Amino acid sequence: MFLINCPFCGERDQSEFSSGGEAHIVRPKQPTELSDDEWAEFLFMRKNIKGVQFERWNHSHGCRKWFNVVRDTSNDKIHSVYKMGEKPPVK
Amino acid sequence: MSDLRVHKTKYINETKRVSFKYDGKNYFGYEGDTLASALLANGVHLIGRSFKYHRPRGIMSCGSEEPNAICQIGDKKDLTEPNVRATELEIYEGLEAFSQNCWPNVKFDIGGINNLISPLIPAGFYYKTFMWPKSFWKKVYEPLIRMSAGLGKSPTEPDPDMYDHKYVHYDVLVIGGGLSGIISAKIAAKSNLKTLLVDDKKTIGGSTIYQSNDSFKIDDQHSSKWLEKEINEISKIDNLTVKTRTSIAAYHRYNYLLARENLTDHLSIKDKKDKIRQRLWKIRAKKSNRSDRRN
Ligand SMILES: [Zn+2]
Repeated sequence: MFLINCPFCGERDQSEFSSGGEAHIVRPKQPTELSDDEWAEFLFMRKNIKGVQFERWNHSHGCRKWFNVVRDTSNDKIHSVYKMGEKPPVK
Repeated sequence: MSDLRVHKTKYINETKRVSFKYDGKNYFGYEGDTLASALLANGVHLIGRSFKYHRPRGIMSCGSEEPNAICQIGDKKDLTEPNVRATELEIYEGLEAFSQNCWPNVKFDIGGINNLISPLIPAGFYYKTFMWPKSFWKKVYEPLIRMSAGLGKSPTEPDPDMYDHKYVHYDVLVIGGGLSGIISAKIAAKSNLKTLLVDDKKTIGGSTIYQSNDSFKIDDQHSSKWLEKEINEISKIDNLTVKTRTSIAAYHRYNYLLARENLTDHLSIKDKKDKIRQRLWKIRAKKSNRSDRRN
């Protein structure tokens, strides 16, 4: 039960948000040209890092906007929060 | 009443008798007694049995650290409560408590036979030993083991009581209202921080509040007297809230803590009717300080 600092609303309880999983996964330009394995790789395969991870969050019970969070999954410490389209901070 | 009781203390009101039942027998204590202190005053020392060999056990401590005096409260199907420490339970008119982990009763205990034959039972012995023959398990061993080894009974019907919950935010949460907790809460509040002080007992002051003799002095006064003045002083600070009968149950990330406040458990059955029983506090503190002496 951690706090997330929504870039649009400010600091709120985690229960107001829903997680969108790993961030910065680029959708393939030509999905029809991919093999099933490559498509499955894009759809399902995630790094599932123990440590600092870049992820997407949605303020679903608030402003309903999407944004990015850099969170350490081992202790839930949030290193930074940035809007969609903004450059991710370097590790 | 037996002469085990220390008379004329400030925290027991000897003008108000409270009657209660323990293992079906009537006793009485006074307002301010815990079940443990009332039982000791009545000369009741044997309050339970050890889990494995069912050796006799007595009251060891005066708070949540109590390992032995564990009771079942009430015998109603919907409200019976197992594993309540007698040292934490304030007695009230109409309280019915039972010893746990003994059958048929605490004085004659069938599991105690294990104790007599314990030289024959190896150290690693466990009730799994009773698994053979298979046909005996359901009808003979299991019911017997459950009766002799059970640690209390859970209620079998829905809880009819009312409960409440509340979210709060503080700059500082101090857990444990003993000497150091009181002083740290005072310092925090005086530094303009919104402060919450919680303690599981009915009054704050910890063990220091009972020290009224020459061996325990602060600033050349009996330490209880000195602390009373401090308690009186912090009660006047606006941004300091004191919650008694409140125990912390969980400490989550980002200083998110859960506490249970007991609102009416200590009242007589008549007085607690139609009132909220307990409140769950969801506390978000910026900083959390444990001044609990047990840690
Ligand atoms: Zn928002």
